[in-house]
Amino acid sequence: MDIESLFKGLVLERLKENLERFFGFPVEVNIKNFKSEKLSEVVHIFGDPEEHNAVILMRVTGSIPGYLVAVFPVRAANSLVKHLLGQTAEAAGEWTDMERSAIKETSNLIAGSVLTVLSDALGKSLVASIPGMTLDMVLAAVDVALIDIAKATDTASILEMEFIDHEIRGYIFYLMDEGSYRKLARSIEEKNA
Amino acid sequence: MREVHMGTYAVDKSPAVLSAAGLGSCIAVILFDANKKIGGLAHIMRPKYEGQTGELAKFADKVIPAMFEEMLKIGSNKDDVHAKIVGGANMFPDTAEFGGDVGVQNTVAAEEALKNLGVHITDKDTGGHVGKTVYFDLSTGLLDVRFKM
Repeated sequence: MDIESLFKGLVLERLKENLERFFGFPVEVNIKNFKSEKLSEVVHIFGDPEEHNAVILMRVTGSIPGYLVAVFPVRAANSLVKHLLGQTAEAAGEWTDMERSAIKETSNLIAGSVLTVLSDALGKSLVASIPGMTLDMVLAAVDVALIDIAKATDTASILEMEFIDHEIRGYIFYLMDEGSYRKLARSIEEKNA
Repeated sequence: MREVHMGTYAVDKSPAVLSAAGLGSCIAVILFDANKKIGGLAHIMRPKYEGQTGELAKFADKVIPAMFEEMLKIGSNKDDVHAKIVGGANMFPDTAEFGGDVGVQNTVAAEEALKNLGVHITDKDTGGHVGKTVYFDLSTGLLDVRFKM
């Protein structure tokens, strides 16, 4: 087992199961990308730099620190709100506190699914912070995470997952610096041994 | 158009447009010599170099003097160079976890580096809570800052 197969197997399985239970309908979950990229090149990973999305950022603390980012295109975030709360969201960017909570709650569920599987599989403690949310350019929202990673390295390891329904779509990024990536790989090797 | 990615910089002569997309807590420092129409843009991630290995262009205190020197080498007069600064936002003001002041630190470090070089800041659009994308046209000296309305 390696990092990608751990995510493609156990992590996606749990994510799909939890999202389907939460939404009450089937969703497709995939790994879109997994690469180590120079910080100067990550712009291409986060889509159109000027497009605005709902971006939820969570810091991962514990043995393998990093960041989890959930990204919902505005239309998908509105569909999410409508489905969860049974109400049509106001214009983008004018979500009520309850609507923002619904979007954050979905992100908490995603983080919980991913981190629980990793913690269980690797025997490591991993905890997500309270989510921060903004409606803006993805790169502008995640740069605070990349700035943190840039403290010690020029490379970020980024794993991108997506979940898709006919209306609701979201992207999940797991960002790690080189040190965390090595720790994760080593933990998997130890489990394989 | 030359896109200047995070942690890098570019120096060019007119006609050229330099851009930096998705500035959050990062800052763009633009240096411009309006007489020679030579300019540079740095997409800065961190305030100060502290002995880390790797790219120096991501640090305000390293990249600004380097960019300035490069402009002088291709013909700029140091007394004609002015600066513009954009970015340095706090994108998550409601969440203490990400409400740090790295955007402010970047801005302060850039101002300090410019002061040390004797470069005057003519335009400053820093702080706030929104992401920005900048386009700087070296043929006109015009700076276009785009953000969510």
